[in-house]
Parts: sequence; structure tokens; C-alpha cells
Amino acid sequence: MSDNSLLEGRGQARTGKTPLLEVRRLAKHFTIEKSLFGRTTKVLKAVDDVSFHIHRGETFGLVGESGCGKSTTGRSVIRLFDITSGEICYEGIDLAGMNERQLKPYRQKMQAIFQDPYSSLNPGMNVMELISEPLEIYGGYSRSNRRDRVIELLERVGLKREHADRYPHEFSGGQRQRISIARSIASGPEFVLCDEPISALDVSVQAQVVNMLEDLQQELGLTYLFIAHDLSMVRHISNRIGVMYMGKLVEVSFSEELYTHPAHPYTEALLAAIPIPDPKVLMPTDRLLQGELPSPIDAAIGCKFRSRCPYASRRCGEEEPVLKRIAPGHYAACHLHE
Amino acid sequence: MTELLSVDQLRTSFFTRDGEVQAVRGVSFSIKEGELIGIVGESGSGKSVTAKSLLRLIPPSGQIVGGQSKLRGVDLLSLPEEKLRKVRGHQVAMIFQDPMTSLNPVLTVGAQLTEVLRRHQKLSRRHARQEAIEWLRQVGIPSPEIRIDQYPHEFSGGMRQRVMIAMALSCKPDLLVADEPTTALDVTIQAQILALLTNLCKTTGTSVLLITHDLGVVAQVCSRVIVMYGGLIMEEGTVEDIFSAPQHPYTKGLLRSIPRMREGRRERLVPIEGSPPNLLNPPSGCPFMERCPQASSECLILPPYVESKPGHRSLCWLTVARKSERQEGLQ
Ligand SMILES: Nc1ncnc2c1ncn2[C@@H]1O[C@H](COP(=O)(O)OP(=O)(O)OP(=O)(O)O)[C@@H](O)[C@H]1O
Ligand SMILES: Nc1ncnc2c1ncn2[C@@H]1O[C@H](COP(=O)(O)OP(=O)(O)O)[C@@H](O)[C@H]1O
Ligand code: SF4
Ligand code: SF4
Ligand SMILES: [Mg+2]
Ligand SMILES: [Mg+2]
Repeated sequence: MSDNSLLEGRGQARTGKTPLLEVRRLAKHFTIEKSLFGRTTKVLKAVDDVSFHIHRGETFGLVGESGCGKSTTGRSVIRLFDITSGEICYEGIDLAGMNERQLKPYRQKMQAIFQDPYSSLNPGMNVMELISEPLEIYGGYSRSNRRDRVIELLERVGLKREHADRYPHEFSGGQRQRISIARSIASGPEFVLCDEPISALDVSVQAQVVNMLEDLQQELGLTYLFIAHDLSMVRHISNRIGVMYMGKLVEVSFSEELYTHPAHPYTEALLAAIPIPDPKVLMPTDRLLQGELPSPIDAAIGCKFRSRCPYASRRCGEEEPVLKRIAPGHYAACHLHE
Repeated sequence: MTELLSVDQLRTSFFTRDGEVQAVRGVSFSIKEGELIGIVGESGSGKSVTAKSLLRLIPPSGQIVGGQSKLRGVDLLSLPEEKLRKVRGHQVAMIFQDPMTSLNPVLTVGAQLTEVLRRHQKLSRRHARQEAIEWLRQVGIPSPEIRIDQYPHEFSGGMRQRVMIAMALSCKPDLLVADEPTTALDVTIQAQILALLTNLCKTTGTSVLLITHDLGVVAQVCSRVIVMYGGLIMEEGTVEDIFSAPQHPYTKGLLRSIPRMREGRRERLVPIEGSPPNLLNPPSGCPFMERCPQASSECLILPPYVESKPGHRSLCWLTVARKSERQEGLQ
């Protein structure tokens, strides 16, 4: 991608400041088949040339269909694994090539909350142990201080001090997600990856968790990368949103702008598919996307969306569109916007 | 429209080590011919157990402890097993959230579909195969002649759900029970599947009982909706009534907690505080009491169903009070 410079340091009103996080040309490829001699035969480009930035205190949403690379992007950013290529700059310092020892100070600053509150908490540890674990790892607390800190954190996420001695299975999904949140903020992070933190919860409880994440952000000045399927929740919580399709970022814009003026045909189709909770507003069935995601393994030339795009032209089959600025702070990768 | 299914005082419990889990605690409703009716509610409210009880598909630890479920006047709950087996898949078909668990992984899609077709219509093998290809085409599977010989794992989640729909509708059932058929799918595929389901049902005249936790899906697909909570129906009415004039505090809370597309961001969401009741020892009064902002001591006793207008009923003391106020006003 040649247009990287366009994505740098262009937050509304925040222009000039270095973003907290800047991801440049990130790629993460998985080897999915090896021949008898250990040679790689098939490569899945889960994330391919993705660039974006997140300002301090901002929430950047990431949306797209299952398997498009959202979680892989998030996990790359917090360096849960080695990336294939690209840069992950945290306050201007590239984490991409760092080893575990070099990463340690950043591990404290970057935390994560995951989708499944059932499997992401160790069932053999009680709440006190779960929340004090990061305090132990990152230090700074004596044993008795630790207990006080855990209770403070529990109360902060709407749980009670009595809950400290209970085990994860004794809690509802929403309460477990509160425990995950308490655990993730225990070390005093600046950045939190929220990978579908509300997808497994009921609507009425989702709102509880989203409100809590918003309050914590205000209070602690947190920066979020928020991944979700639920497009109306992402719109609610994010300042800016990136739309991914098959490992690529196809559109980036401010939330309201993205929802009111989607530029990429895929974004348009994604928004048209949201079932509107009002029987008087019927969905535009003519804009329903046909077909399904092509196989991510078969590398194709041209635009990856063209097999489902109602506007595809010959050029779309020959040349891959790159992310270009189409309005202030609004970027899209589509030949329709040249 | 004539009545197809009538469920009366259905009660189903699970007998676990910890005691009796009263999953469904007296549920009554009916479905008319050709009608699309939705059941919504949070997880654990008893939606799936209600649906499975209708066809007696409850796992062994569960037991239907009371009630009737009459299909055209015949009570399915007291029907001998072999007669019930004829009803399942013939008059009533069911599709579930995860189509992988309902498809046989070692048989090709075609083998499974033709088996269903041959069981319900006396077709030759060749004829059944032709018909199966037609059904795959109907549900939007590209190159059905090739796809028919593939195995379920070679299909995507959305395609498997299409196969399930083809299998369910190919026996031309009177009623299709669909339990969260699109919950595991992406919105774009969900939209395709829902459009397909409603179109096919309209053309075949099949009634649908659609279970979902997504109020958007209900608003777009159903004509009537049942709101469940704590093993009981809290409110029932047309989608228009439920969305524009909800009566029950739980329904109101659910509707308030969804972020509206119109609203700008950072408008605070309005959750329902607390969590659903434990059905191991369900409260004897209103199950929503613990979370209800309008609860009073009266609510320690279970209220009766009251219609705020014909076809719109709810289970709440406030509706009872409003109704008696109205009646006093009339006198
Ligand atoms: N460890 C791995 N080995 C091989 N392939 C992987 C691995 N992790 C992810 N992938 C593949 O990479 C692609 C992107 O996966 P990813 O989990 O990032 O998707 P996602 O957008 O988070 O999807 P979802 O919405 O389902 O969570 C998918 O095709 C997935 O199958
Ligand atoms: N096999 C089972 N054994 C014990 N309890 C069960 C079983 N299946 C469901 N339940 C309980 O029955 C209640 C209703 O469940 P269900 O109908 O599945 O809810 P939902 O509304 O989410 O579909 C829940 O409390 C659930 O835990
Ligand atoms: S580049 Fe072409 S195929 Fe791709 S989204 Fe734009 S119009 Fe559609
Ligand atoms: S009966 Fe009482 S507790 Fe139940 S919903 Fe009505 S007001 Fe609330
Ligand atoms: Mg993911
Ligand atoms: Mg269920």
C-alpha cells in the first residue's frame, strides 16, 4: 500500500500529537499445510497490509465478517504472537521485533478482554487470585495492599467484596465479564484490546458492560481497540471505525460518517444487513449481499470483494484498490472512489 | 386464519443433582396457519425448552410435567412415540442454531436430503436426487449439481443452515420451529437466510415459530411476538403493539437497552440492572421483581394475564391496575 502517509496522525482536533498506537503495514500469515519435507504449501493471509492509528483516550472499532482478521489484528497489536511483517508503534516505539523481556513493560500497559467469559477465566482460581495475578506479575503491591486493591477493583466493576472468594462458575456471564474487566485494569494499563467483550451476553446485560467500559475509559483515560460483530454497539462506543474484509482494511472513518455515508460497497452492504428493531422500518432487501466469503486461502488478484460486489467492473479484477482519502478522516479502498 | 397449534399450560423441568430446574413454568400460546411468530427473551428464559417440549425432544434429565400441545386438535404430548415420530419432520420440522450438530458428518449432503425426501414422498432414487438438487438451488446454493455430493464439513456455516432449511421445508411441514437459526451467522448471511425463510414459508403456507434473542430479527420477520422471562410469558402481542406500546417493564427494559441506530454516539445506554432469576428456586411472585424498577410488595404474588387490548396481553400488576382504572373510567 502506497498511501500510508494519509493515515498518519489525522485524528479530528488531535492532529499534531503522536497517536498512542500506530500500526503500519501489518501482516500476519498462517501456514496451514506443510509438505512432507516441511516446505510451506499453503499460506493464509489472515491480516494483509493493514495500517491504522489510535489516539490516546480514543476508541477505535473494528468490524467485519467472521474470519476477516479482526482478532488476528488485535492479537498482533498486543503481541500475543510474532507478526509476519509491519510495525506496531506504541508511543512511537516499534514493538514488532521485541522479545518477551523487552515487551514486559508494554505488557503492563496493554491488556485485553476477550469474548468468552467462560473460557477466558481459569476455573481453578477464585476471584481474589484471578485479579491479584496481574498485580503480582507487574509488582508494586505488598500482599496486604494487594487484597485491598482487589476489593477496590471489585467494587469498581460493580461486584461485592464477598465475591472475592468465589470461583468463576458461580457467576453469570455478565458478572464474569466484570471479573475479566477488573483483571484487565488491575495492572493500570493505558490500552485495552476488547475482542467481542459483549457478544456472549444478553442485550440487557450488554448495556451494563458497555456503560462500565465507557465509565472506566473516562476515569482512567483508557484507549480501546474494540472488536465486535454487533454493528450498532460498535457505532455507539467508537470514535472511529475500521471495516475489514478478508484480511484488508477496506474503509476507515469517524463513526457517524461511516454509518451515514458509507463509501465502500462492502460497508454499505454490511449496514444494510443490520435487522432494524422497528417493525415500521423495513430493511432494504435489494441491497442484500449475495453469496458468501470466498476461501481466504485462494489468493486472487484484484479487489477481494469483487465476487460479491454489485458494482464490480473489469478493473476490479485486475488491480487491487488501495486505501485512499476520500474526505477528511475518511478512507476507502475501492475503485469507485478515485 | 384457523388455529394450527395450541399450547396450554406447558411445564417442563430438569431433575438435576441440585434439584428441580423449572425451565418452563406454565406457558400457553397458539399459532395460526401461515403465521410467523417469534419468541424473544434472554438466555435461560426457557425459549429452547419450550420449543423442544412441543415435539418431546427434551434430553433424558428433563420431563414435561404438565400441559398440552395440540396440533390440529391432536395432543402431541400424549401421542404414542411412533405416531409422534411421523409428526416430526412431516407436519412439524425443526432447525437449530448449530446446523453441524444436526447434519450427519459422514454422509454427503445429497444422501441426507434424498433420504428425507424419500421418507416423505414415495420417490425413486433418481427422482429424489433431482428433487434434492432443485431444493439446494431453491435455498441459494451455487452449483447444486456439484455441491450435492459434498460432505457437511465442506460447506460454510451459512450453507449448512441453508441445507437444514431445505431438509426442513422439503417435507412441506405445517409448522417450522426454528431455534436461533441465524445466531451463529454473520449479519450479511443472516439477512439472506431470513429473507429465504420468510419467502419460502409464504409460498408454502408453512407457519413458523422463530426463537431469537435479537429484537431486530423479530421486528423484521415476525407478525406476532412472545416475550419470555424466567420460564413464563411476560407479554404477547403483534410486533407493532410490542414495539410501539410495550406494557411490561421487562419488554420496555429490553427495548431501551438496544442502542438505536438513529441516536448519536455517547448517549448513555439504559441497561436492565441485575441478572435473570435462578430457575432452581424460582420466585413464586413476578420473576422480574428483583430487577424491576416499578416493583412493589404486591409483586410477591404472581399477577394474572390481562389484555390491554385484544390480542395484547401481559403479566404484570401494573397492567392489572391500568385495566381496572380504565374500567372504572367507563362506568
Ligand atoms: N492459529 C491460526 N492458524 C491458522 N489460521 C488461523 C489461525 N488464527 C486465525 N486463523 C485464520 O485467520 C483468519 C482470520 O481469523 P480471525 O480470528 O482474526 O478472524 P476474526 O475476524 O476475529 O473472526 P471472528 O469474527 O469469527 O472472531 C481466519 O481465516 C482464521 O481461520
Ligand atoms: N439439559 C438440561 N439440564 C438441566 N437444565 C437445563 C437443560 N436444558 C436447559 N436447562 C435449563 O432450563 C432453563 C431454560 O433453558 P433454555 O430453554 O435453553 O433457555 P433459552 O431461553 O436460552 O433457550 C435454563 O435455566 C437452563 O439452564
Ligand atoms: S474495487 Fe470494484 S469490486 Fe472492489 S468494492 Fe470497489 S467497485 Fe466493488
Ligand atoms: S408485576 Fe411488579 S415486579 Fe413484575 S413487572 Fe410488574 S411491576 Fe414489575
Ligand atoms: Mg475474532
Ligand atoms: Mg436457547
